[in-house]
Amino acid sequence: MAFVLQMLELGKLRSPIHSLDPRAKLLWWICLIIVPILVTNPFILLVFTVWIWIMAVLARISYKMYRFLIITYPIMVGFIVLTWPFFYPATEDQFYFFRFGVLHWSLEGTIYALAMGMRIILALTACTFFVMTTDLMGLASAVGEFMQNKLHISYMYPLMVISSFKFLPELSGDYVTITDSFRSRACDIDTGSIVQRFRKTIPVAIPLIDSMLRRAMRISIALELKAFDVDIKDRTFYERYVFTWKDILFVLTGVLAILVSVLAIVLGVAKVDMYL
Amino acid sequence: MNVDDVVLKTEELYYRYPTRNDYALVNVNLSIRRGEFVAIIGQNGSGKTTLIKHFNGLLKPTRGRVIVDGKDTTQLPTSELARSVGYVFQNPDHQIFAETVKDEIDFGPKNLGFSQERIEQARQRVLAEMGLEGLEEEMPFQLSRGQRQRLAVASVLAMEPVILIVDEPTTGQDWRESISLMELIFQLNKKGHTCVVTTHNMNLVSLFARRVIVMWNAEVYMDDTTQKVFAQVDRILKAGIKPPEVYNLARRLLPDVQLERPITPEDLGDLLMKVKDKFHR
Repeated sequence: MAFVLQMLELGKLRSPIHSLDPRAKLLWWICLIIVPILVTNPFILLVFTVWIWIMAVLARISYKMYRFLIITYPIMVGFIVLTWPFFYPATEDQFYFFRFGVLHWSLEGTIYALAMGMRIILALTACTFFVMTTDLMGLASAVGEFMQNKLHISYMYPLMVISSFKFLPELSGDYVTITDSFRSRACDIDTGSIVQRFRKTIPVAIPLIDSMLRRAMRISIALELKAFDVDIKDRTFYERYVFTWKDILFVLTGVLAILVSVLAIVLGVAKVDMYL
Repeated sequence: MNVDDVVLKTEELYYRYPTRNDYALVNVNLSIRRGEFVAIIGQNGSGKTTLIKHFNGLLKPTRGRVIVDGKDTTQLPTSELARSVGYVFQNPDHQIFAETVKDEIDFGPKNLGFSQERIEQARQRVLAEMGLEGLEEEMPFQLSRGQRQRLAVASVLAMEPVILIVDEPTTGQDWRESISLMELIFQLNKKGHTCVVTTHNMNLVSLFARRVIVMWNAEVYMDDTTQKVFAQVDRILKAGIKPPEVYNLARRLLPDVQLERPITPEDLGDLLMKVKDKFHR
């Protein structure tokens, strides 16, 4: 958990990608999530994944992404590749590695599982890239500004989101301190079976929730003391977000990815079925 | 000094946090003997907490070694080192989770595999030592801040550690609670516990600690008896530490007196008695 929270902190780094408007990155990310829905050809998916990795180098987060994904890739993809072939429809024209009653494992099933795995890899890589390059507070603020100015929705809702992101580092710090205090009382939450670990985290959750509630109470009082929720229209925002040509260009690369996917569908090369 | 008396030793200890470029600890060499009462003082960010987190393996040295009760901390997890080192965190609310005081105290001993009989004996002992008798069935979150702090100490003491480390025990407490807690720690020390305390309260340090380690810029800047450390005013001021008020008072009252510096009100009283003739003149 601490690692995930640390990952969110990376959005505050400085790089050409980090300096883009958070809304541009949100749109780009949505485009990259649509791609694996449209395409199942593992080679096309691989090209998009490599493209994100090149962007990660530009954003100076490639190593951090690697550290995170080296753990999650094998778990997510390995599970699919190991289980999917068993559920792939069995037909006579497949090449079977083994077939015993309803249990079967064929080459076609494995290729299909790999393609599904690649979809997960692309989506996961895009999500990780987005989280590591986007300051979530900035994103919430930009979306809040848009909601108030264009949709006339109260700034209170985005402020709630901003506040929750703002205190993530403190939550992370509390979590580390609390787990340390439990380790100091001979409770090692990192050892044992999954069930044992889960049971050990229950006592950790109690002081964590307690500390969060106390903090929420303090913040709510502090906000009220600073006239929060006074009915004022046309509230200004601390930071103004304006789309520049760089942001438009970045979003266009995402749109281009969708166009390439659509073109692949038109040409009949978008699906993994062409290899089966 | 008998070498066997050393219960905690650091050898050329360096530590750097993974997210930072500079060292948080630089070449720290310390020996703490059985039965000592040591105060670690220093400005915020001087390395106090980083240092004491090495004593129970919460942090592992980037370079060098930490030996606790004969065990190298790099070889053992914190949960194992908890047999030898009891660590009380600054904020008691970061460790309290149980529904009753009794369950909170029993948590550590149970993790260490103590027998039921031993757990009950340990509980009764620490409840008495920490002045929490009669509160066994109370809900910890309903106790006062001072009581919660004492409960945190009790829950660590129940594990029967050789060394007790207390991080900023008096933060957020009034003077009476602070004195009361420090008095309890002092009594534990008199019973043979080795106590290491970090604090910003120099008055409490002067009253209770027999040895003071001053951290400054990630290094051990001074390490001596409490009297000798506070006697070197210029040096401790350089480290951003203000001497105890009673010491400042003594300097103002007796600027020419070259006797050993007083550090407690009683010491000051004794000193004034010695030089009363001067006042009469």
